[in-house]
Amino acid sequence: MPKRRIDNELSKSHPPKRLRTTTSGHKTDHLSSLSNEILLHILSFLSIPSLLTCQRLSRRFRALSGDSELWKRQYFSKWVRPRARRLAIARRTSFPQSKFEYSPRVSTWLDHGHLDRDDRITNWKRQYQLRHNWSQGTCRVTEVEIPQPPRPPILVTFCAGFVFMADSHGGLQVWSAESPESRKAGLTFAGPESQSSTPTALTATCGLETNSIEAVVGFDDGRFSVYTMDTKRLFLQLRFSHPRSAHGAITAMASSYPYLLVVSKHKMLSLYKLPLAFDDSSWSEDAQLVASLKADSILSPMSLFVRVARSEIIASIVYSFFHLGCGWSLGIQELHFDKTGQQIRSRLTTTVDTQHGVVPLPKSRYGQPSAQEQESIDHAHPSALNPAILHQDPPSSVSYSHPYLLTSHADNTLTVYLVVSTSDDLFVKGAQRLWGHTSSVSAVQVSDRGKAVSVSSHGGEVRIWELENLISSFGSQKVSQGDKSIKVRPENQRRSQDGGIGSLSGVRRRELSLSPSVDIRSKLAHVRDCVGFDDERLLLVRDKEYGTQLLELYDFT
Amino acid sequence: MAEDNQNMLSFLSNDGKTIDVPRDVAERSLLIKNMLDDIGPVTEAIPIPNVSENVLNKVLEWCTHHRSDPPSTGDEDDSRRKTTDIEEWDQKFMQVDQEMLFEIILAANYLDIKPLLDIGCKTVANMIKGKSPEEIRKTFNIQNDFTPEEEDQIRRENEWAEDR
Amino acid sequence: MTPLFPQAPQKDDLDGTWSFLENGIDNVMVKLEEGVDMKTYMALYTAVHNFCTSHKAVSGHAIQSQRGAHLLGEELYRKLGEYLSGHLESVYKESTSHAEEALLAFYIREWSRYTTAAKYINHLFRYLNRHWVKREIDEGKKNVYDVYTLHLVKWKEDFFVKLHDKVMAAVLNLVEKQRNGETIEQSQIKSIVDSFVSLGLDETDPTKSTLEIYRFYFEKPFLIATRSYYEDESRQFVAENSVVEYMKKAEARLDEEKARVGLYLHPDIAKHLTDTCLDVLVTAHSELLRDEFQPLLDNERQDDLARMYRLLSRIKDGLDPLRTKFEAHVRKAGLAAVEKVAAEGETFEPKMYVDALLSVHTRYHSLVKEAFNGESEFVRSLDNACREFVNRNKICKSGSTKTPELLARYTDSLLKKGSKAAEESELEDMLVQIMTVFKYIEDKDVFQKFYSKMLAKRLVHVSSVSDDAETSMISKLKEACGFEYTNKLQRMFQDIQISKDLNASYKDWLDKSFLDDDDRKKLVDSHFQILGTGFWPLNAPSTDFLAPPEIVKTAERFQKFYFDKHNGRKLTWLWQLCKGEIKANYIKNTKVPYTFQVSTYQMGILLLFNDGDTLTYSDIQKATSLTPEILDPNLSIFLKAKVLVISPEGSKPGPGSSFTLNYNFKNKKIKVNLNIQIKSEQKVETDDTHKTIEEDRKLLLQSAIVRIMKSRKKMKHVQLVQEVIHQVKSRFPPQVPDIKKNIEALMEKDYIERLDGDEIAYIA
Repeated sequence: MPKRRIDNELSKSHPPKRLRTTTSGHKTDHLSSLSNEILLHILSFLSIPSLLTCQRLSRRFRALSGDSELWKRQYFSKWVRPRARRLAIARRTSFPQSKFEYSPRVSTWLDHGHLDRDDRITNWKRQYQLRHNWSQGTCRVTEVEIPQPPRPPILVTFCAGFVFMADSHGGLQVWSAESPESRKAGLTFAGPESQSSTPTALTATCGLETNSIEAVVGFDDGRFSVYTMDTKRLFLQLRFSHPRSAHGAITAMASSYPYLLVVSKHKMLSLYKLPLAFDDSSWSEDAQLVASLKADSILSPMSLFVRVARSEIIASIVYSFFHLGCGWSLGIQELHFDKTGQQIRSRLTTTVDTQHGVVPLPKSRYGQPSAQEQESIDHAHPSALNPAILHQDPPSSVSYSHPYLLTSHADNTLTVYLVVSTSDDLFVKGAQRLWGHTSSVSAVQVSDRGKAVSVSSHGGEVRIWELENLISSFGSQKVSQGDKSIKVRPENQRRSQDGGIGSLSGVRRRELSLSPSVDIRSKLAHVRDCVGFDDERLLLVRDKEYGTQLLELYDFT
Repeated sequence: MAEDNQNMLSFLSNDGKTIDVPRDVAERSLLIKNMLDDIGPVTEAIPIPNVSENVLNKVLEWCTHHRSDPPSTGDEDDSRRKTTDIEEWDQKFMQVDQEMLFEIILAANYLDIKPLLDIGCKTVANMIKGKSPEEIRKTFNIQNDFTPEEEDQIRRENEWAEDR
Repeated sequence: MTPLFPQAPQKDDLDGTWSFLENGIDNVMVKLEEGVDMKTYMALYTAVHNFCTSHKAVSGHAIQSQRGAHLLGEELYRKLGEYLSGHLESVYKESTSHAEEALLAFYIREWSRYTTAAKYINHLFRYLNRHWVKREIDEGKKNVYDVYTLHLVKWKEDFFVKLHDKVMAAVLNLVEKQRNGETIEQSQIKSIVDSFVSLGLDETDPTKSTLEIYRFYFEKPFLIATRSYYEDESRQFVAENSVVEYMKKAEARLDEEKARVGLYLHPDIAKHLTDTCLDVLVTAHSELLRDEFQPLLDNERQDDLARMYRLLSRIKDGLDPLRTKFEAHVRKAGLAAVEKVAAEGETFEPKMYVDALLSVHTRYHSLVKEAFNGESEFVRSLDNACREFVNRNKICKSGSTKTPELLARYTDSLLKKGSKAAEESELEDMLVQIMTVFKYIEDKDVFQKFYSKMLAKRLVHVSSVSDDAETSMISKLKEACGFEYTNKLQRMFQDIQISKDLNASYKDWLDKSFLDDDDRKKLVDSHFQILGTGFWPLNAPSTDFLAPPEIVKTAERFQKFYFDKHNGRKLTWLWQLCKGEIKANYIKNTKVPYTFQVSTYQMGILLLFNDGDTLTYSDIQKATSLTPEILDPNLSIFLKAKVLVISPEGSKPGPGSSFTLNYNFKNKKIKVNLNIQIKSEQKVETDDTHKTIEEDRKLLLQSAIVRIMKSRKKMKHVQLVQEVIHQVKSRFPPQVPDIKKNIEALMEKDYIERLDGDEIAYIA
């Protein structure tokens, strides 16, 4: 026991040091003497500006104020709770109060399953910043020029942080969106058949394993090849090629692993199931044709979408057509297959009714139409001859990701529709014009989480739309539209052009275009496509005036 | 005092002073409450090795004032986080010098008195709010261990949130 | 010298802190009985607190920048886990020397010691829980639990998984012993159940618990053992005992298992356990049980039937076959009872018949109530069977109208003066019973016809047993069939009431009127009833009749009075229903003259003899203008009663015969009732009633058709027929050909017309 005795003496003569050393308290850093858990507790009472201020106090405070759990809480109160509230009001349902209360368990948050992953720790400060940047349209843009001006134009797609490009010269090439300066992997289209064929369609989807992406290239001779990209080892390999078919060139593809939807030039729609990926031995495998049917109605521009519901595979084709009453409209064909490929049902609906403002309110789901809605329906009838939404020109692009359907138009607007697909009904609920662009819109892309990105034809104006807010205001009196989208403001460009203007607030409408007054028709080709986006990045392809192509990467981190 | 022996406890502070405490006051501390639940009646003075007499007295003053508050289970009540409002009595109670303030926080943390810990931490948070880094450093004597370059880098890193 | 504070170790010294803590924890874990010293308790808590709040952890700087803050405690948490594993390893070693009940005792002892300690240690490590553990969980780390849960997890992983088989085997052996009738230590099993339940941690949300562990490791083997135990037992029992005995056994076992749940199992098992037992004990033997149903019915074993019902009602579709059997059985019993009545020949009393029907119903109604819990499906089977044998049996083989007729006659016999049911309450009960049969009658209109006829007679002849009984019966019928059904019956009642008042005012009027003495002398005591033509089921007389002048005068006088009061009404004299009394002053052999109670017709005949002692048949006929059908039987009555004497002697009344007043008439009674209903009359009346039923049905059908068509305007033929059936079936079951016939009839009358496509339209 001698040791104890000594300790005892020690603690008697030196009761906690901080008590003894000073009485004035002005020389001692009492705050820093606290243990981390108490400091975290103090910091948890602070707002975001104060937290950021604290990061500048000292190294220790920098670490503590940037604490992921603190930011997780901030993230919740800023992005999750308000939305849960809004939805509860919109649906006129009463969520349990606990939905609004902070819970450290991300799985209990509304629609945040993708951030609740076992295998990695989420950096919540970074997530907060990302979300903040999207909401402000803040990003950095990187341009990558594609070396040779290929004919026909290069195909690009974006999946899980990787950019896939296909053209007959370079074959399939893969770039990481994080560092687009260097190519990560690439394969030329080898083999005798490939000599003459040109890629005509490209799609990519996350594979079965966590680090794999399945990329499919379709060719003008009806052949398609399936590649697997190992994103960890950065290794691309050809799994197999599906032989050419008599249906002509592949014009469009969509995929949702393991299903692949292919449309050919001769309007043949085929659904394939890709073989499960094995590390080796799968070279000789081939895609298994699940179903195939003639689809005469398909007119460009169109959008394909495959989704796998519990027991069904749902393939949707959205196409545009001219309707005498209300101009260019959209048709949606939905094909349901069971797992064996048996077609269960096929359904068709159009946007015509909604363009006339007739809001179908079937079944019980949305409850009784409110008085306001009733009014707007009544109001719609006299104007039945003049549809509320009338497009005299075909949409410049169509994007569908269930349940959101968007079209972009040369008249500076977008139109959003909500597609409702239940087991016994398919219909379009509500339609709304979206204003905000100040020039012709050439491309739009929507994600299933209700975020959409649209691009003006000369690529100068990129806008982000949160569709959920719009959808929930369907049928109610029109809300002021201008505030509904956020214009993307690449920081690095802003710096160079806008120089010292510091105080910016609200929605910014500063033009970035170099030549603001150009004939729209000639410029239409400028931004060819909005390739895609994920939580962090947005990818555009541009044709430069002198024929080269430019890949633009907007990074919101 | 009116309480009988059953309901009286005594604390022994780390500077050797004995303080008599009514049991319900003492049980504002979850540590004490759990201990009494586990062990049963205690006759000896309970040693509180981390707290000195004057701090202990201060803490017990708070406990006495709040003796009939509903018991806190300690773990939940995250929802009240946003507000740094402190009720008036507690504000007055917390008007002490920094040394005492931090001693109270430490004691509340040790004795597991969540509401008191919250009030203490809120008080400190209110001292931080709205101040520049330099002002905060001055308030608490925090030593700046950054190089100027580092400081500038942090400022830039957090720029995204500034213009709101 | 004892230190002021039991010394906690240096706060940033992990090994020192841990060895101090380990020593303390071990005392709690192993020697908790000895109690924990308060100062040690405080020192242990303080050691954990001091370690976690010490500043030394700057080590994880790289991680810090990623995650932010770093909290201390991981080492303590890990060491605690290791300690628990070690402790449990030694407990496990010790357990291997125990088996069966001793093992259970050991498990329970260790479990209770361990969980008590866990509660202590959880409090001692509360600082760790509050900060480090909470943060780990918030960050979404798996496999980090609060200290108490850590104890449970360790118990499960390091002890439970190795031992659960043996423990469960011991539990099942114990339960089997109890099922075999031995007494066991039930609390042991209860403790085991509690322990298993406590180990159910929800991996996805540690704040919740699940029953997964308990279900998998306890419930599943328990149910399997239960099933096999009862499979064996029931198979053997059935082989050696009667079905009735088996049912008793099964019921007892089911109760026993249900009680077992309450005694020491978790309520979660209740449903599964019951299902398992039912499956093995009832479903598996359900055929056997059902086969026993008929014998039990035949022998009226109510208790056993009830037991069978209770058992089979608990399994899916268990009772359906029984209901079918029951219905057939009741029908057969009903038909047999009727057959017995029919064996009496033509002359049975309506009461016999109705009693036969009722006795069957009563018997099985009470069986349904007592043995089958009054279950609605069985009630329906009973109703089906009753409806069947009430309407279609040996006695009404000529047609289903026989039952309502007999029922009406029985009712009449009860409500007529002189019925045997003396007590009013008894009568009421019988009326209720009549309604029971009435409910099953399909031809309710037939009953109505007969009933109203008989009611009319009771009212006209003032022969009702009581007004209250009549009203009660009418209100019962009204309740069963609605206002329309009893409308006329009620009006008849009213007429009688009104007539009473009328007679009173007639008497007043008569007193005030100017009559000469001669008139007054010849005045006949009279009583009149005014019966509304539409409501009473009465026909005009079937014969002409010249009433005697005395009567004519009386009648004319009343008519005068009545027409004064009600101008424009028409009165028809229903002579056939009138009656009177005459005194036979000519017979001298009694002090008080005989009084003959006679019908008006008889009166007309007898009064003729005031003018002469002998009259020829043709004289009488001329004077009365009665048809021979009426005259002859009435004369026969006089002859039979020896009021008149016929000549030539022994001949039948008819042209050529003559009648002489018998001055030597003798009778025991002073009042002689000669107003006897003539047999043939009754028969004719019954046939008439049946005929009017046919007529009425036709009208009912036609009015239904017109009513429907008027509202629908256009209708398919088939639909119309359906609708008609629907509307009239509460009165009688209509035949489709009859409906069609009436549709045709209405077309001929241009009420409706046929359109193309089998459609019918209403012609406005």
